Amino acid sequence: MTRTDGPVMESAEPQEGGRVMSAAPPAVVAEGLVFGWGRKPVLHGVDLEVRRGEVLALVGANGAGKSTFLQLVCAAEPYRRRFSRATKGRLEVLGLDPQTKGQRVRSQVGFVADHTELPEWMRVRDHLALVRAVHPRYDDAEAHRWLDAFGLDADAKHATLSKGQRMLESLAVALALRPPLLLLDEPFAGLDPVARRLVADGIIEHMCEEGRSVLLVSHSTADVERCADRVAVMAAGRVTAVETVEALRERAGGGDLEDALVAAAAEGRAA
Amino acid sequence: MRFSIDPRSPVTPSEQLADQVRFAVAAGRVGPGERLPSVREVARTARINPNTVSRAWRELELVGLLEARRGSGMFVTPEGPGLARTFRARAVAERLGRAAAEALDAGLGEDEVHELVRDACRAWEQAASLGAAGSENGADETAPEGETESDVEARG
Repeated sequence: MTRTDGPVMESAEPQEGGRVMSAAPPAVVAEGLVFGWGRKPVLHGVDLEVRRGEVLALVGANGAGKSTFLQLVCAAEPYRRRFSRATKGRLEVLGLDPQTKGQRVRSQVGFVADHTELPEWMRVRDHLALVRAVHPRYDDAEAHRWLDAFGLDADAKHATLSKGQRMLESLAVALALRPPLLLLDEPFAGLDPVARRLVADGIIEHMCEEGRSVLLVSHSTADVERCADRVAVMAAGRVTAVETVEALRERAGGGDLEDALVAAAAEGRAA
Repeated sequence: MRFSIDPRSPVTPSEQLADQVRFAVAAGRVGPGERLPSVREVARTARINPNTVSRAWRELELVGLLEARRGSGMFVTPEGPGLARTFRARAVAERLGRAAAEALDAGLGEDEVHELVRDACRAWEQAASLGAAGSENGADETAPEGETESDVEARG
């Protein structure tokens, strides 16, 4: 069920009155990670830690390397033989090296990309069957519970789903894995307020279980503010600043959080 | 007990929650020894990160208003109501002070300010006698500047 690698992660009301700090390894640790899809590196030494039990939002300009980093964490394409590997640095996901333990990492990570590549004729139901066949943590009842919550019909074909519905469908499947680590690439982009709220509900519900973590990429300041514990600013292939949302708000002095983010990014670049 | 968060408020969500608990305890809606809703319940209904709720509860625990009982949640301490009333008095005095300063700055006389406060109190009494409902909600007292649309939405 919600068992994670670490010891004793569950209790009736785990987060009451101060968090139980677990001995489990952090969700993600990157140290000096260098990586490029071709000859040109995209990541120029990323240092970042995603703790257990936190939602970390990765923000930054387009092309800063956010999605690339996410793909390395979820042990996807980069580790196919024909792609280059991380050339330098260390990456650990839930205490595992995604390069050598890709299978185990993938079995504990839920990944929602910013687009879907499923065939148009495929029904939501078929997608669930596919995931059920390949993923050890998949829980069918949970998947249907989320489809209901998101107002999605299991018989609908992907061709008939809107952009927002596709995002919600992917999220429903990811949540049905009850993954210790949930990775979301721009989950709020281009969605209407109702869909955005449903996505936020999904993240909040996910975080209600002890020891769960989320790493999300987003440009939506308001949604980041609502969901995230900490924000990491990425620029030119590096993480230039990491701050709690509270600290950023303080820095903004009651003003716009976006200004604080831009300031944090600028400071990081100057440093 | 229900909570609502105004995402546009300059007050952080965890501070908003803590304030709502303090006001509810000060008003006696939650008494000593009573249990607060769990972190999960509040996170789901107020639609905020559970860690934010934990932070608010922890802050109230640090000042001695709440105490954690292992495995069963957070409870109002015997000293809770006193602490909450002190906080309430301070918070209300500060808000009224700001409003009064604004009125005086705007050129109103002291008598006019008194008059306005009396009118406001009378209007509140009238509203309260018309519809006794709504006073259940802890958020009502903490949102004297008027509820925003998103507050109402978040509760619906």
